[in-house]
Formats: sequence, structure tokens, C-alpha cells
Amino acid sequence: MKNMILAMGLSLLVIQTPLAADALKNSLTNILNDKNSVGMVNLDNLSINGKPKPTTHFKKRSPNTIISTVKGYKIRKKEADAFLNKVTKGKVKDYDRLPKKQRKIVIKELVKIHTLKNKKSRPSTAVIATVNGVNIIKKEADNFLKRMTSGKVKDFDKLDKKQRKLLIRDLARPIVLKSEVDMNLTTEERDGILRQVWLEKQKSSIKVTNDEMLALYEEKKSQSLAVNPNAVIPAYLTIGKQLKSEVIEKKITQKLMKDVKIEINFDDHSTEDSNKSTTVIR
Amino acid sequence: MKKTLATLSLALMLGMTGVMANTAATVNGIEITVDEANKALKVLSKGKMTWEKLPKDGKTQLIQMMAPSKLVSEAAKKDLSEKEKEAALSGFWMQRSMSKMTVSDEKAKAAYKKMKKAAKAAKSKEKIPEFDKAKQSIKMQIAQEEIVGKLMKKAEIKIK
Repeated sequence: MKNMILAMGLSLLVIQTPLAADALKNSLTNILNDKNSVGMVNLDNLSINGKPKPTTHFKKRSPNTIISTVKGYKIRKKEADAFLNKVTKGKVKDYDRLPKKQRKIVIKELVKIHTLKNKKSRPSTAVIATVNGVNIIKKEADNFLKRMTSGKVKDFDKLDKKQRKLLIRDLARPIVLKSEVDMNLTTEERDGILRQVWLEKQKSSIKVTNDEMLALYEEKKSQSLAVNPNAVIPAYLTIGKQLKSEVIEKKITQKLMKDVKIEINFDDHSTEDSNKSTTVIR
Repeated sequence: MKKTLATLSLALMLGMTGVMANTAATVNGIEITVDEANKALKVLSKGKMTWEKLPKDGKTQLIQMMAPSKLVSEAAKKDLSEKEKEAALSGFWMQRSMSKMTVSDEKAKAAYKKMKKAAKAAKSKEKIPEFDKAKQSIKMQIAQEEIVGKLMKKAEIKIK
């Protein structure tokens, strides 16, 4: 039996050797016969500085192995692997392959996540910050957070210290601005601004027809001509915007003055009646 | 005791008279003070007329002129939400504060370069306008940030 195997091996060697020799021979002949060839063998793919890679042996542990215990929180390898996978977008998946320094960072992060996850949330009415003496309640911060993260994070108490600080700073801005406005704007200024905003809001909801604008134009035209028959009247189309605005103002005033009760306090010393009298206009 | 009460009611009556004397008119219960009427008259008559000197029909005319503005003020207070009010007032104050500030072209250019670099780093596909076109809005942004920054520095923030 042994002899048979030996004979078979020998015969295979004998068959293969001329095949390999033929290929080499052909290749060399081609180089010599090819006019374009520089007569060199391409060694581009050969690494001449190649050093053998050091073989590191990792101690691969099972996914359920407890890799660390921090204040009673037992961290299993699979948790760390999953975290790594997520953070490195699938590039690193095995905690055991990390150097010691990086392992420490992973554990620290996992503890942070665990602590925040298990932290008890305060009620929504709890005061979480004060800005210039103005309270910010948790509900406001939660709503803001929800808006900012498109509903992904909803609980202020689940944020870490740095994130909380940033969020409160964002919430503080309008409060700080408001206290500055309160201190620096006079009552008259405030009144004027709010009046303007209200009027603008009304204007956007009032519709004006061409007929209404034309009627006002004709009215103004006849008024002008009554005062000065030679007055130059601008063309209707050139004052369209102004007319529209006036019609709107007129409509707003009419609406406001409808059923209005005005009482005037006449304190007139020059008239026959020196007593105060009140006139009611309806 | 009776004397005290009498004195008190007298004082109250006198106080009320004072208030009445200061009221030129009421529009739907909203007060127009003599002071307000005089301010309006000062503008209208170029300082020649006062509420006291104004004849009855003149007073009526003036109050009718002032009434819509009073009614608008009242409607604004009622109809605008707290948020709308805050936004309008803050916006006005910010505009006023910004108009007092000057931001140099150099500062704006530096900010523009920084923004451009950040957009490149973020591989943003949005087209960034030329500096000259964006200059004014960048200056406004810088001014606004500086104003808010100063306020925030002064602010007393306590996180619980």
C-alpha cells in the first residue's frame, strides 16, 4: 500500500514539473520576442520591505462575561461590544481587542449611560433652573428638548451635566432678553410696538376689492378738486398700494368704532356751566 | 371712630376728584388722560392749544380722533399672545441696540471665512453667497451675538 502511494506521488511530480517549466519558458520567450517589451519582469506587486506581522493573541471571552462591576452595576461583554459597534459604526465590535486605555473609556461611557438611564426623573413642575430670579420648570425644558431632537430625547433629567448647561443657556436667552426689554422700554414705546404688530396682523386678514379702492380714489379726487380745481390727480394705478392701505385702515377703524362708548369729561371754565359734565357719544 | 371714618371718606373723595380731573375722556371704559390729550394737541396745534382752552366741539373732535388708537392698544393687549408680545418687544429692542453698534468689514470677513470653512467641512451642498451679498446679514448676526453674549455674561443662572 505504502509503495503504491509513493509511486503515485512521484508520477504526479513528474507530470507537473514540465508543465511549470513550460509556463516559465513561454513567458521568457514572449519577453524576448515582444518588440515593445523592455525585457524586465514586473515586480510591482512584490513587497520588498515586508516584515512578518506580529501575531497578537487575544483572549476572546464569551458575550456574557462580566467585564467590569461599578457600584453594583455589572457590565457584560456583549453590552460593551454593542456599544463599540454603535459608536464605531460597525468598525470595531470586540471589546477584547481594545487596548487597556480604550477599555477604560468604554467602561466609563457605559457607566454614564447606565446612571442616566436609571436616574429618577423629577416631576414636570419641578424648578430646574432660575435665570435672573425667573424659574424654569422641567416641563419647559422637556418640551424644548423634544422640539430640538425631533422627539428623540424628551427628559431633561436624562441629560448629562454639560448638556443640561447648554440647554438651560438656550432657555435663558429669551428670559434675559425680556428682563432687559422690561428695564429699557417705556410704556409708550411698548404700546406703539404692540399696536403696530396688531395692525399688521389685522391687515393681513382683511380683503380689499377693486371697487372699494376705486370708490376711495373717486372720493379723494373730488375732495382735491373741490379745494383746487386745477389740482393734478395721480393716475389710479400709480397709487394702488396707498389706496389699499387706506381702505384697510378705514375698515379697521370702522370695526373698532362700532358701538363704541365715548365719555368726555368737559371741565370747561369758559362756558356758562362751570360744573363738570359728561357727554356720551354712541 | 366716626371721625376717623369721615376723614377717610373725605380723603377718598378728594383723591377721586383728582383722578377725575386728570381724565379727559373714556373710550369703552379706557381712560384718556388730560396729559395724553395735551400731548396730542401739542402736535396738532403746534403747541398753541391745550385741553383746558379747547372748546367743547374741539374736545369731542379730538377724543374721537384719539379713540381708535386707544382701542387698538386695548385690542393689541387682549388679542396678542404673550409670545407674540415678547417677540415683538424683544425684536424692537434688539433692532435699536444693533443700530447703535458698528461691526467692521474685517470682522465680518473673518466670520464669513469661518462659515465658509465650516460649510466645506460639513460637505454642505448649499450655495454660499458672495461676501458682498452676505456682508450686511453677517454684520447683523455678529452684532446680535455680541449683544446677547454680553447679556448672558451678566445673567445669573442657577441650575438645580
